[in-house]
Amino acid sequence: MALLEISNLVAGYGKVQVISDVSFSLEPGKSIGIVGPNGVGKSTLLLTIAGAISPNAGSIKLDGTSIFGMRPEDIVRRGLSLVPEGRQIFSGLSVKENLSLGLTGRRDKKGSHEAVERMHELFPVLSTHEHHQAGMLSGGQQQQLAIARALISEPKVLLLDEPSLGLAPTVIADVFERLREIIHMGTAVVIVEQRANLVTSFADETIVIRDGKVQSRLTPADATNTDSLNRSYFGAGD
Amino acid sequence: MRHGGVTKFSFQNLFGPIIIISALTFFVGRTSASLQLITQFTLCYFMMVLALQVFVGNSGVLSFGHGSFALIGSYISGMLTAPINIKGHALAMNQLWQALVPLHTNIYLALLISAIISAFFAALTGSLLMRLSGLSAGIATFALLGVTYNVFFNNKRIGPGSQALPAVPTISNTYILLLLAALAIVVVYLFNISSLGRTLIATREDAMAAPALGINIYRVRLIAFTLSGFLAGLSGGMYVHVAGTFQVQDYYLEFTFLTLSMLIIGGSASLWGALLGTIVISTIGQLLLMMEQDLPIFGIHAHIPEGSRAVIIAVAFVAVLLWRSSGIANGKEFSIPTFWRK
Repeated sequence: MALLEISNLVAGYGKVQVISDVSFSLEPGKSIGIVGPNGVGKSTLLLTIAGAISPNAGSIKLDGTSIFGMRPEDIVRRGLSLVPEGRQIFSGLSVKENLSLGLTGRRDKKGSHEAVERMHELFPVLSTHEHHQAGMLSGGQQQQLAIARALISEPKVLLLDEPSLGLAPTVIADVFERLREIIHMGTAVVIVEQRANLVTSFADETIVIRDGKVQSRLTPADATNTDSLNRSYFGAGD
Repeated sequence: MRHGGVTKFSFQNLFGPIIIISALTFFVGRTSASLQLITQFTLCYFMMVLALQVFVGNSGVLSFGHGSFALIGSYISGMLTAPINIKGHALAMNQLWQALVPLHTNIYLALLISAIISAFFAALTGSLLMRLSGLSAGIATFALLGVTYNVFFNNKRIGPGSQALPAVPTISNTYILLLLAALAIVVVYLFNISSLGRTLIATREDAMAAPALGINIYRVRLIAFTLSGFLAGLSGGMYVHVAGTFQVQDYYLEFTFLTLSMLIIGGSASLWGALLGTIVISTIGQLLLMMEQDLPIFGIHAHIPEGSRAVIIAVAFVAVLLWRSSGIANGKEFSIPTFWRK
């Protein structure tokens, strides 16, 4: 049984329908990439799955249970966390306090201390800057903090919106290396990215969204095939 | 790299404000009878500004409704302590519901009851209001103030209506008010550095990101609003026992904007800001009042037209919003300047 199952999802803002028919499923320890031109609804899709936007139709199941229309805080407690676009860390709070806030969504409060230790092992930079103001960290460090803050609640599914945004290439490689470790530990990951090559080569499967629908599905092999990627991404040759 | 955080306990963050307010009360309060009275009123305002800091400062949600809680606190404490014959026979009270007349207790129990009932009223109204944010929350809390004021102003069955309830016993010992203020500082400081306070601050910093971490914004705001209501009710109770009379008008627009100005000008994000704002605005306000009344300040007469005080404070309020929105304290708690440390 799939861990996350999205079927015929329809969502938008008021009367404006942004997502008109999206379906995909995800197994534990697997990753799926979502790419597409600006404004096609990639972020809207993630926000809808995470409960920040109310869906209009379709179904969203997490571990066999419907989370359709649930509040974001309840969805987090059921095991699905979102790392939003632009990281949205609490810049006035310290690194330690940001991580502590991530513990709010944990189902098992007993293992909180161990969870913090695990995050320090996975992201050593957070341990070094534990008492520093989060807003003073570099972009890459903030991204690691945002991922750790979502991961500390030990979600079954982690959603990431543009994790490479504003980062230098070497830092991006580092962030994706950490994501590989997270997936290896059994967490299922959904990544929305503008860098189509990067995510297509990284994820087990990548779906291309256009006009609010799944346009095509790519495999890591397609990452090196520029023609195939362009055709899927921009609709060239349609 | 700068060290940060809001949940680390610091002796100077907590005891700095307590020592400063104690020293000011001691030195200013004993100068003259009029300055003692001003100090007492300032301590009441400070309690109200602390109440606002707990909710407005930490959540970032503007509330114009806290005057309601102060009004209720003042009303309950005044009604529970005013002499029974005054309540029963005073001209202003002759329509009073008779069941309220024999209710009587001592000042301190009355203060506690007034704060608890104000907190209950805050929890009740907050259960609806805390679903709102931004402009909607501001307007709805303003409506709460308007409704509460009009209910008490126009209803002589429950109180003196538009007139005053006289002969409310006063707290003549300033140090009792100081003790209450110091206790409130401890409570507010411990709340601000608690995990609940940190969660509330997170909702202020980013109301979109907080729910994505499993934070229930409604719940944390409601808890803070209730605590804030308790302190505002206590502030109203203290005020009525300094003024010696209960008047509904004392807790309406002027009271609301004065205490909000104190918080914003001092810096809403910290307890230190709340204290600085109260001291600065109270001092400036008093000096301007003396100038309006053409009284000498250190032997110098500098007359200004009546009403200038309100205008000058309003201008200061706007100036702070424009050029230093984080207030005088700039979001920081009290700390000893580094050049004084060894």
